[in-house]
Amino acid sequence: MKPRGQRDSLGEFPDLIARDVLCGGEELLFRNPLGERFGENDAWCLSEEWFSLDDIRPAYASLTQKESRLADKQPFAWNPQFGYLSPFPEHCGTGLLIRADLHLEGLHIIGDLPPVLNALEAVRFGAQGVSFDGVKNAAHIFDVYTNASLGVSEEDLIARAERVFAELVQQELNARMRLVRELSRTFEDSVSRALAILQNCRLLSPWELLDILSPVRLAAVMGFLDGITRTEADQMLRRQLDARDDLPDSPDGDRMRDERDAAIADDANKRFARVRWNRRAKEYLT
Amino acid sequence: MKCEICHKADAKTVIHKKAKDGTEKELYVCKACADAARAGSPRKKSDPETMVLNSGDGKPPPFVEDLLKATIGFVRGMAEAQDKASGKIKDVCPTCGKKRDEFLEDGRLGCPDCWKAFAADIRERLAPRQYGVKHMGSTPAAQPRVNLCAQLERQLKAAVKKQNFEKAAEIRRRLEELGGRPSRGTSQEGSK
Repeated sequence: MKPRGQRDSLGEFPDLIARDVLCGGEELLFRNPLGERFGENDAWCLSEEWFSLDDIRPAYASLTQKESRLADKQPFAWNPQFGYLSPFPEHCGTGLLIRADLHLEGLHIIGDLPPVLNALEAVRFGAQGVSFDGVKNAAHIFDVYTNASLGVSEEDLIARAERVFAELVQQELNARMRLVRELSRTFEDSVSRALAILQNCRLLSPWELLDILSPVRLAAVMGFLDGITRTEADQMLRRQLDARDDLPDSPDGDRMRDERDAAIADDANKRFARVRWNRRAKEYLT
Repeated sequence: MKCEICHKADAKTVIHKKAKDGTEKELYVCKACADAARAGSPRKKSDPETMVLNSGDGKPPPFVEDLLKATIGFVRGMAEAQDKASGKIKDVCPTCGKKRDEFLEDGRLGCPDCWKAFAADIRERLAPRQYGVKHMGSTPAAQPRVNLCAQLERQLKAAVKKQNFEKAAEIRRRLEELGGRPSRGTSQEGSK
């Protein structure tokens, strides 16, 4: 076992805390045709995915290519004061929206999530979690997006998005570092509780599962668990993120819901039966 | 125990006061001093303004509040009436017929011309949420005006061919705005 001081050296932390905070994102460009009435939504929503902060600018370049191809066929509704026009006043200006998916479990466990989300609002960014069936911000995976596009150039908006996303990633990494250095018992507690539920529950809704998987994913990302890899945790999370409750509100629907939750619980019991803290965890925590 | 502020009346209640260094201090005070502290100002017996405007809970008395609300409403109404008279605010979009009340309720616009018709409301709505109320981004350079006019003329011809005269009128108005003129053939067809 390494001495404490050596373990805390930053040189060793990057792989420990991992850089899986930012799960990629998307850039959207809203455009509407000139001289026509608006529909229910924007006529065109051009989109381009990106996977790391370095990809944001190339993704925008590719988006503008798509846009100019479209502009050759159809002029866009535009006016000098409000920029590109849309049925929604919030989409005017550049009509550009940049969003990112961020897993902020570390900030949640140390209790710093609310001030971070408030700060986002102050810089005109929005954040939306997955809330359903009484579970609020399940998994602490947030869709963080630019909330304003008027009074700012595309270049400036991209620079702001890069800065804000990078800052969020840094805040989350700092939180994870604090979890390992100072609050390891708190961290162990949340992961152990999650594992206990996953191994012993009898009924589990998709959204509860999503919420419980979150600390497990964090521990898996840090390489503290045996029996589950980060990729597996990600796959399970992704499956649950797409879950929809389309069952009817009736006694039949309730029965079907119970059956679904029982099946999820049985799967979780089986899947997590052999998931354990590993030697690495023992070395770094408490 | 005597009040820790006026040192005269008996202390009846506890208030928490923030010191300059940020620490919170517990004070045992009389009711009058507690009211004055909650109102955020030191108690002054002979301050008529405080007596009239302050009912003791930090808010102005209800009649002052009502009066203020009525005055603000009146001034706002006057400004709106003036804007309406000068044509700055329109109740209905002349192109798509979207009503201003509908826009204020659902926040959606019906057509590009709604942006002009309800510009003042849109600015008011966007100002607190956006970085500014003036577009700073790119201009549609990929659509020079000539191409735009040619495009609209094509659309106009198609609309006339389909006998969609409402749309044709809209396109013609747009062309006129851009300084273009529908070609002779189209114009004649449109007037049939």
